[in-house]
Amino acid sequence: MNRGFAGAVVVLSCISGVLAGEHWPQWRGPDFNGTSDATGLPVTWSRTENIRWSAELPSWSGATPIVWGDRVFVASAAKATEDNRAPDVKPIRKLAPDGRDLLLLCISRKDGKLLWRRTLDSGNAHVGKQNMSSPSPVTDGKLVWALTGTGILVCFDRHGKEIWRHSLQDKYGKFGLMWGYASSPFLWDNKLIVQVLHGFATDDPSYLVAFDSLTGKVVWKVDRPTDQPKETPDAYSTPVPMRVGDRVEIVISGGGYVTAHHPVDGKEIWRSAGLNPTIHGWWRTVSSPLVVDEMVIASAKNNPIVGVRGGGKGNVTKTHLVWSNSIAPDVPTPVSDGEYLYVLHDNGSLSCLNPKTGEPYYKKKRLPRGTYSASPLLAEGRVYVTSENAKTTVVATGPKFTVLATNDLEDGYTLSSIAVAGSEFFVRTSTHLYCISKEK
Amino acid sequence: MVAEAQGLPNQWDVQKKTNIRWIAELGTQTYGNVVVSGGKVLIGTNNGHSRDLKMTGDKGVLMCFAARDGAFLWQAVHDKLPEPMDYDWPDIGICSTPCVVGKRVFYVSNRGELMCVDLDGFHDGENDGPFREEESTGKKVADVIWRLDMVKDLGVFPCMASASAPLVWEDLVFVVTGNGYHATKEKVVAPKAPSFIAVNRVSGQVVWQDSSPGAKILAGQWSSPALGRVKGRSQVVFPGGDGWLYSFEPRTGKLLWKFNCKTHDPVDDEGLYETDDHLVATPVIYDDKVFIAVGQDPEMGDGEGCLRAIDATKTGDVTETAELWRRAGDDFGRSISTVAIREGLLYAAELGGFLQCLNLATGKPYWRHDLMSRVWSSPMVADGRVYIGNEDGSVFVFEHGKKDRLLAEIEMGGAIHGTVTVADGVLYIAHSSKLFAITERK
Repeated sequence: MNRGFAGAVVVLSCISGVLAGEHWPQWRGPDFNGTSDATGLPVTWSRTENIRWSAELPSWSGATPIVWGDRVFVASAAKATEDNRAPDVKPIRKLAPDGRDLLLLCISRKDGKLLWRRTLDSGNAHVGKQNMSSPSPVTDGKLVWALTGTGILVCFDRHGKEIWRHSLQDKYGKFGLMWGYASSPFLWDNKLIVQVLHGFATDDPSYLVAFDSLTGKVVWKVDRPTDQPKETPDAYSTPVPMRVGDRVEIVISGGGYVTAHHPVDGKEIWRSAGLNPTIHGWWRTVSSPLVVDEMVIASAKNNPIVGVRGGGKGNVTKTHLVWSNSIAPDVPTPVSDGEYLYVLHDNGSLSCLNPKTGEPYYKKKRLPRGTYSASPLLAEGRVYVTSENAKTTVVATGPKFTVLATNDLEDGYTLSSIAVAGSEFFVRTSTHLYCISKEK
Repeated sequence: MVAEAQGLPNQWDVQKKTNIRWIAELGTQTYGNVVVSGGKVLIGTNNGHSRDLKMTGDKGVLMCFAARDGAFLWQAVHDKLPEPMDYDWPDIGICSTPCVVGKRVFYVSNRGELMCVDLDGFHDGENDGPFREEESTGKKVADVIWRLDMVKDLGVFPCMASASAPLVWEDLVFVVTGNGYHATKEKVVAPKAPSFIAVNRVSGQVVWQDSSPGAKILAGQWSSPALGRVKGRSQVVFPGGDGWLYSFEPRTGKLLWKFNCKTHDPVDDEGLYETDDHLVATPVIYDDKVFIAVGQDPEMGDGEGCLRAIDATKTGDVTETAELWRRAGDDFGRSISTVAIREGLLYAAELGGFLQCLNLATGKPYWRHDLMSRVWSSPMVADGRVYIGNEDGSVFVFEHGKKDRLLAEIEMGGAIHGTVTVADGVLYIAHSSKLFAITERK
């Protein structure tokens, strides 16, 4: 397993007195890579099998449920009412109606009951395939931070008391992404780091900003420049940490580049091109970077997917870009157990690569028909991939493609990635949050 | 999508230039198909690699090359419409596949204009008309014969793209106007504007028009009409953006029959009879039947679809009575590809990345091959083989027949959105930025 951050998890675990794998504190989980140490997980489920509880949600959303202790935090739009409906700004598909309010819900992990509900903003809209509740919340167990696609960043305590808030657009200017903002905030070392990578509808530079997580005070803000045209500067990805010797760098993917930044001041340490070899003008980034030991795996709209070795300085394209091939995803972020890299392709297939070389063990093996937008989860030696119609296929880890089960929650528009904590899965469909665990 | 040809290559290499006769530079995005006529090769693309430095920036471009050596001859360059995000999507260029009859080239510009231009351009030393107001009569620009501005003159509002391929029959040109849904206004803003038109091929005057899909258009209308003889009578079949097929008497525009291709049978869990599917593929008329699959904007992703054989001999609303067979649900996904028919076999591609070979009479599958990435391309049957490209930039060559026999998979180096074209023993294949003429080296 990839143990880059086991130390951080252990420290947090000691504080709250629980085991590793017990929480899912941010969008890619405790190790920032879509894996978990959770055990005792079910392989099969359906609407009537292995469902501990289900809770009706006010709306669909791309945000992943966040789990800590006895609480589940869920970002959502409000339910649509006759006179309160989010406008369609630039939809590319017909989306179910939802309300204008953007919410953070706190749900009891025990039974799915709503503990509290807070309104973050009222500017929801449909842009592309998403609404303005795509960023996933992040928590350290004591505080929870939520960000909206409209740039409202709010810190609550676990009881829902508001501690601080910012409007990124009021503070730093309008977001200029073609399909609306969607990056999740990233918590590291008492700093909440937010990336705004845009350029399609703005001449303002892209930037990274770090807030003191307790007070909301700005610790640093740096430009994150790109020379790429048109829509290519836009990114919907989320930062991840990377351990380099005894220090940590913050890795960002978007705007045609992977960059690494110093967590103390945000300064850029290295950057690699290679994500947009033809300098395409419509090459926005959706999938987040994935760190596998010393490698960063990243891709943009389509091929290539690249492996960039960390530890460099300056422009490392020629020196540290180790591999590049045409087995890339568009939307789903890949997952790895350190030995094997699993790439989920949007048109419903899975590849398994060597993360060090990019060489495939198997390539584009078919999954049940559908579009796949949620990112894969890896736990207990299994990879879980979920389609937009809420079918989760369970694949055994390893160099052979073996489907163990396909679990259908029979739903229409599932964008959210699965979370896992303890022996429970948290699966968000367009209408419900399901807590899934083995029936005793 | 069937060509009579012999001696076509099933192996080539674009890196080593094996069996490559010539390569021509296109723009940076290419969605149109290659057409070859009179020793000339035509294709729509964008202006990403501008050939005229006085005309830079985003434009729609139709390029004409010499078939012999790939020499660039002339191009028609069209400015983008204002508000391109709504109805002339940035950078996609000209998506329409031209139709050439004699010395006349018919295509639809990115601005929703039905164009008639001279195949010889100004190389024949003449400015052919009625249109003679070209800004230049230089050798590298198009000689426009006439233009019908479907946006200005017919009130059409295209949704994102104008992409129809004109069809010429006798003295008429048939085309889907591209009238569509306005995404931000959440409705069809011009429901009375025509969706299907017949135009006099010499004058460019509209002979008849039909606005049947009207307010029920679900997204865009990017498809093209087909014409054939059914029981000795000609029919022109138009695919609607409302998911219906409409067949007309070609001379008069009188409706002969219509078929609702977006129906469920039985109704789905929520009691719905209709899907959001519509028609992006082009119908194929063969042996008194029409073959077509439903699909959606590729941006909507993959999903269940439906491929049908429809009896074209009936009249009226034939949705309940004319279906001969279907392959649907999990057995056939959404498709934007046009089918190919040869010797009792039907080849059909799914957007999600499969090629199927079916029994033409029954719809029963012989084989289904995974092409790995998305397919916009349509299968082309020629010289005992089936050629098809995918979005990862591979061309697959199969043996024509009931057995799944892949002969070659060849990397082209860029996304393929068009169909392999065959003319005079040469394969023409375009990816996003290059056009290849491929022929067996003798």
